[in-house]
Amino acid sequence: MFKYEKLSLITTLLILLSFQAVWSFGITEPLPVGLKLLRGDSQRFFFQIQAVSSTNKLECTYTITGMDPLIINFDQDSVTVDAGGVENVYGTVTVPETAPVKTYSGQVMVNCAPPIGAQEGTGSRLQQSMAVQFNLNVVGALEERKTETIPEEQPKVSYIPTFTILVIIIAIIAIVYWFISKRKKKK
Amino acid sequence: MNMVKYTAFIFIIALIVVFSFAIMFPKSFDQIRKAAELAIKTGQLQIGGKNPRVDQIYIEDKACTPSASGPGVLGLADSSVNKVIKAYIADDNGNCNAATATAYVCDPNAATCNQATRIWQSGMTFTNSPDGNVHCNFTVSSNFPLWFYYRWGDWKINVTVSDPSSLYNNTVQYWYYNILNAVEYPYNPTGATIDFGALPTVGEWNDGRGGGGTTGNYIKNTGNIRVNVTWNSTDFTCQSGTCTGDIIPITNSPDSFCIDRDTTRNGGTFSQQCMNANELIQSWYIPTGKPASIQRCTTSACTGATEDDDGGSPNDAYYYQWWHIYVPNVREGTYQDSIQWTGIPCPTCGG
Repeated sequence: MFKYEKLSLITTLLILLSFQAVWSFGITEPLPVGLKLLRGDSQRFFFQIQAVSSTNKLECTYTITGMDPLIINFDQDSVTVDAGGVENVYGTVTVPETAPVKTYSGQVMVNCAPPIGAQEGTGSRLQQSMAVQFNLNVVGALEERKTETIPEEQPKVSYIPTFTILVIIIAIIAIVYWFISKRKKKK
Repeated sequence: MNMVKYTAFIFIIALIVVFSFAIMFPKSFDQIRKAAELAIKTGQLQIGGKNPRVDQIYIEDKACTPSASGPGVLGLADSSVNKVIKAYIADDNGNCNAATATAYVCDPNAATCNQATRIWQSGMTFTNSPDGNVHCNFTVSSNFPLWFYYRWGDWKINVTVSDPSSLYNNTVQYWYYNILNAVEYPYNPTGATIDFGALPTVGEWNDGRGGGGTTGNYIKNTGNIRVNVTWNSTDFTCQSGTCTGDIIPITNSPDSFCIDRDTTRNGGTFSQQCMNANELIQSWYIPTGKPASIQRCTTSACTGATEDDDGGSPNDAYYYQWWHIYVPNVREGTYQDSIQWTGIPCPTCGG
């Protein structure tokens, strides 16, 4: 037994942690700020997950606590943020008809980690969580209400179908003109 | 007759091209249309002796408000983002295009916003007028760089305008710098490692580890608010080598895995904070005599001893961090654990 311990002291080589890439992220307070909603209102919001100094892609999940009984739904349950990138996370908050009139102070918690496999063979799987507050007022009078339309990400529109249709129209006009001209020449 | 047909044909083709351009590029078409409208407006109103005034200030095209809780604006971690500031200026004399305007941007610490208290300023240039220079749009000559380290909260913009007769006016309006909660560890823009290296001793502490053996790694607040950071860790378990089944337990009694701002355990300038194997129990990292938070930087680099939000030395927004680990008698191999750290912004921590 003693021999074994002595041998261990001399030869043990422990490589405990070794992450070969920088990864980190930040999150922003949701926009819009200072919302004042009436019962029955719904409002779109978004916050950003920023991985601007990360050299790894990150897989992130998120939750909101402390907002009951308000109903909050995210468009997606999770998001992948490319290394060096920024992703907007969109959601909708709905105020039930029975919600008390008051200020709600909740917390958005975002948990990110490199995809499984990104740190294989080099040490621990490092998890990072960041939180930010989400404040919202439920008001009782219409004149107190304050809502705001957020800029939604526009779906990428392809102009190819429109362009193709226009080319076809022009081609048809040209062919008709050519046909009429030809007929008149024959006459 | 043929000439008439050709003309009609070209006219139809031109109509189609314009129509298709309008469909495909609606924004550009709208700009061209507006420019054309402005070009044909020639009327001008002349009324003498009126001060110009600033009716509205905009930041990234959002209307600022006369009191706090203005429109929210987002920053970018460890970077700056250029923000366009515009103003809608009026002059009943009908010569607002000849006005001179300057924008001053002030942070939440400034009680009033003017040239003396501004963080940043820029001259503004005339852009266009919708009504013969009674109202004019102005925009800053250079965009406002919104840095990550600027304090979150209610910011102000003062736009001061004067006309050729030296009559002047100014307006202060508000916008809100949204909280940006961001901490980077290990901090190194060119790449860094958290590396405990080869630990040669078992049955005792290995102090001052974390950045390629016996060096540390920087941690930096890359956001705009103080952050409380908590750490926890699972046990280290054998992954490869001859250590199958061995673990390095992480416990608080006795301590076995600690984080520190210096390489000295049980001493030094700062006391270490040790963590528990139970992931549900988190250890607050509280430097001795310091608030329980990583402070906000006051410069982009943040490397100076006093470049944190309390202005005192040492720098509590950007500093080296080390680890101490007690390794029991375990066999040779590579061990892994799972470290989790959580950053909670602290609006009430000051800074």
